[in-house]
Amino acid sequence: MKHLGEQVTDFVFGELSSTEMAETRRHLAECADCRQTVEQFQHTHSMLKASPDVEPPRRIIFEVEKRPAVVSWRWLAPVGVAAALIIAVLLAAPIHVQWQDSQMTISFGKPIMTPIQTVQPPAVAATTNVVPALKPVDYDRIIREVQNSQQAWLVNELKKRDSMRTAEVERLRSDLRGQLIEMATEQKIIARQGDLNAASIQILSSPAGSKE
Amino acid sequence: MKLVGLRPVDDRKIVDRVLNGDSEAFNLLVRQWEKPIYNFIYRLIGDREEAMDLCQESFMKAYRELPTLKDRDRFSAWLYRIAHNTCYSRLRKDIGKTFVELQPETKSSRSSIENQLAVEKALQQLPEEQREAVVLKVFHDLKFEEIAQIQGAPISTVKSRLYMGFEKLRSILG
Repeated sequence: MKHLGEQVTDFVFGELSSTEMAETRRHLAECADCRQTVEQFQHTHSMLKASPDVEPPRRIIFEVEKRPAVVSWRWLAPVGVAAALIIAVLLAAPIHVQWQDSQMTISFGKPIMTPIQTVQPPAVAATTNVVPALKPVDYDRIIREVQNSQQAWLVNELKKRDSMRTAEVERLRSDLRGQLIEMATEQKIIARQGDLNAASIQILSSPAGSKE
Repeated sequence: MKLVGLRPVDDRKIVDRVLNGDSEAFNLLVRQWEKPIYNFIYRLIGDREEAMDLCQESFMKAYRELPTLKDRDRFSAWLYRIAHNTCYSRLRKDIGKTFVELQPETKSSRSSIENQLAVEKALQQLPEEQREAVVLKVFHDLKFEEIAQIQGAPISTVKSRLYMGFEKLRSILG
């Protein structure tokens, strides 16, 4: 076997097949250079492994933005209209009311000339901001739910396998029954054949005169 | 919040929950993977605060792109790949900067803290691909095949990088 070369890393990290591992070990028993290389690699590996992982300086927590409650002000519209009418009567000024995009604009004195700039409702954030959590994440709930779903899955799997096993056992039983019946039938045939053979032997072995 | 009693829950089940609408469950994946991913990035980048920012960025990308994950059983490899891409975007910005190569450390007895510092410095002296191959193999116990997928390189290339990385580390650390 030739020298290990780059294969030393496969050996040090145990990623050789069992055959290759055995061959390599045999080679190392005879080759001091490769042995030294392996020892140096293992030493470097140990030094690296001795350097521990560090804790991140802070935690990362995702808080998903919730949809803001939509408050409908539409119910105020009739009240607004009534109030505007009262005020108009008092002011004796023409009133203009315009509906657009669920928004009501009331104008006094002159008709509405400019297009209404509808205020778009704030967009529901679909993105997640990574912010310091204002309330703690309910890990207990998440863990409980994951464990429950795992348990439910396990129970379901066990039931499935039980029913598969039962079906399999039944199939084997009926196979065996069939085989037993066949064997019993064959035994009967053999026994009958045996009787016939015995009768033939008797006939053959009886003295010649007795037949006449 | 204690995680005692939580069995190593299959990443896949948590991914399924997140994709079915329980976005908060993503925090479980973060709790399981933030330390390994942080340490992976830190050993590549060499700066703690920057590593924290990149770690956060990696998880945000993972959250946004989770619906694109093809094989839910390979969430961790996919996450490492995202962290790899995030780091390399940052590392490419360093092209043109001059790094001073530190003198090789002498081997005389080091305390564990000195050893840790020596290892960190030595890793920073490796080219990025070799450093990454060493970090993923030694500290994260990934298989060559997995490292090849993360680096987007053939397995033979990964093995060469690891071998050359180790040779250089051996000469630095003694």
